[in-house]
Amino acid sequence: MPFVRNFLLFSILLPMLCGVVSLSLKPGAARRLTLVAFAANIAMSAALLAHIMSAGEGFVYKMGAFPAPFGNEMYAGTLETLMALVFSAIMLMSVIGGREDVERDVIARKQSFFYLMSSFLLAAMLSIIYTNDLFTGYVFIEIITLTACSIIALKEGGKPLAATMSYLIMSLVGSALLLLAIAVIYSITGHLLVPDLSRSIDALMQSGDYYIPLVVATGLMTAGVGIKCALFPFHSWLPDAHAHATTSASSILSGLIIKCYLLLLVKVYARVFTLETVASLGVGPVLVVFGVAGLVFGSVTAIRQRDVKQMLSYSTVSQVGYICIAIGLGSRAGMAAACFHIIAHAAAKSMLFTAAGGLIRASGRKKSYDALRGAARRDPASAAAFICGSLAMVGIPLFSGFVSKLYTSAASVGTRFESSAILSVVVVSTVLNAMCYFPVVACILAKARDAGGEEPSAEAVASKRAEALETGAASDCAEPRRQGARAYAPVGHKPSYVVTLAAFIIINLGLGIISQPVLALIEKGI
Amino acid sequence: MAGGLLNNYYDVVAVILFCIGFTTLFLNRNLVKKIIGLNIVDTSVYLFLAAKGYITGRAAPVIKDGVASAEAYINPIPAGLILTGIVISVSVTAFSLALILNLYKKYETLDLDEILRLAAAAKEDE
Repeated sequence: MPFVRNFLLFSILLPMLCGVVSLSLKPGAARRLTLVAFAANIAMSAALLAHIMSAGEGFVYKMGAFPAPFGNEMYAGTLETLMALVFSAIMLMSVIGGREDVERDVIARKQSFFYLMSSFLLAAMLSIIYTNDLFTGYVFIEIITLTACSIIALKEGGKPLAATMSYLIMSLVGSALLLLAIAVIYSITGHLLVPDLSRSIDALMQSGDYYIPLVVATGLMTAGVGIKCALFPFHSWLPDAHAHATTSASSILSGLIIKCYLLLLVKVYARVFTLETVASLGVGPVLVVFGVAGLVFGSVTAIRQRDVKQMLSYSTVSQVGYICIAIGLGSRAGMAAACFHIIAHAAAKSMLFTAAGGLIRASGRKKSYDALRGAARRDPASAAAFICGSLAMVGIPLFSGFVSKLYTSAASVGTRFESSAILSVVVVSTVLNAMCYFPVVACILAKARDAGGEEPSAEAVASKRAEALETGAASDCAEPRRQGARAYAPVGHKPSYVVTLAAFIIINLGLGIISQPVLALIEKGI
Repeated sequence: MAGGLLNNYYDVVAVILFCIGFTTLFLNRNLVKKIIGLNIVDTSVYLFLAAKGYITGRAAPVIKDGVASAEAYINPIPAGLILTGIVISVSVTAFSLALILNLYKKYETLDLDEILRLAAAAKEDE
């Protein structure tokens, strides 16, 4: 066996080890160790991807070289290694980009815990990506549940704690459904490893035995994943949990964690059940219906938000709906489009949260649109990244979002769904996304209300408030206006932050311009 | 139908327990009761798995009197899964209880809806 194949195991063990070690270090040293480990993970995933591309096919990695029924298996194909590469890279950039907020939001004694949690999250996500064993998948899903909840709760204050609690409860409900689904599947097939499962489910479908338990298990698994990745109508926990976390945690949670559940769903559909079986079990239309509902509801609620992090979180709800539509199409092209959108949205949403963190810092730590007015002048680097992210989310050509919309529309041809219906959903989502993001972009590009930088006189404030009341604006408008009138000085950045934002922009543009090789890797891997 | 239910009474009990626990976890407003519901859910799945792994008339998979044939023993994999599941369930319970303790210190109530209401009403702490 070539040595490079061991990188698969190393890329999971290294973050775990470094997480444990960083607990005993001072925050600064813990951060440096974590960043080195993540960078090493990127290098290892890239080496693995290069190896698989030159070998032409993926390989099964047997833990401890025990053969199948006894040992635990992992499978690395082009899809898995590509995802591992993307996830490690985005993880690294999110941790660098939110550094200042971690130092402010988390008390010094607990900052090492933040790096422990992010290392464990990466290790668990990579395990879910690579594993070939359903029960191992369940174990790591529970590890993600615990670490993701703790990373939200690390931020000081009552709101993050309450958000963590509702997130934890919903996650546990989802886990319970997943566990029952795995138990039912095990009881009718007697297998937990993906290749064996796939064979015996194929045999069951041909003989027609246990049809109802199979439908029940598929439904339970889809519902469990749906709850955990905030598919409408189970999305209620997401906006608070993602908006009240610290910047790095928000971008990790919104960009990566819900995606790894969706990736697991794609893998289960494509590898365990096979697409023909899934189509005959009738899960696709359900996913499409809930996906469309989530897409519309998430976007419409996002439009009504006046808090930038809440808006980004509701937008995640709508994008999850979008990915579920692509999965629900049930064709290989649909799965590939879903995987591409998983990558595209991970890159764009993490960048948006990181940039929003920068803009919020430049606006006196206020998150409302009014406070962000003129932020582009105070912090041009973050504003540039935020605008790029918005364009990518709306789906302007040259950006990643456009490509995934194009492929989803193309994938709907030849499925049981009307292409025109899917196409109109894509168009509606583009319009709704533009309505979410462009007001924020307009706000940050607008001139701040007090160009002189002086505190406006009391009369001016009073007249503004009176004006706001007269024009029928709600009283909650008056307060942000008063706060928004204060001038904030331009902020300086650490070079690492600017480099991270530049890397984010390059990734988003790169995905949009040279999407073909990425898509080829995904299609080969499914 | 009724005969099938009677034969598989372990499964029936497991499903009833699952429903009881799931309803408690999902609908009860008291946080501690939610966690009790979670433990009932987990236990019901373990019962289900253990019942599936049992083969009538066979012994626990520990080699006794030199009998090495697989025909003499029950399926050990569900037992392994249950052990792993118990470890997970213990850590999840411990984490949840710690979180509940912190929430109670802050809001002096165990009612999740009340806590969410208080948190939403609290002044923006940014």
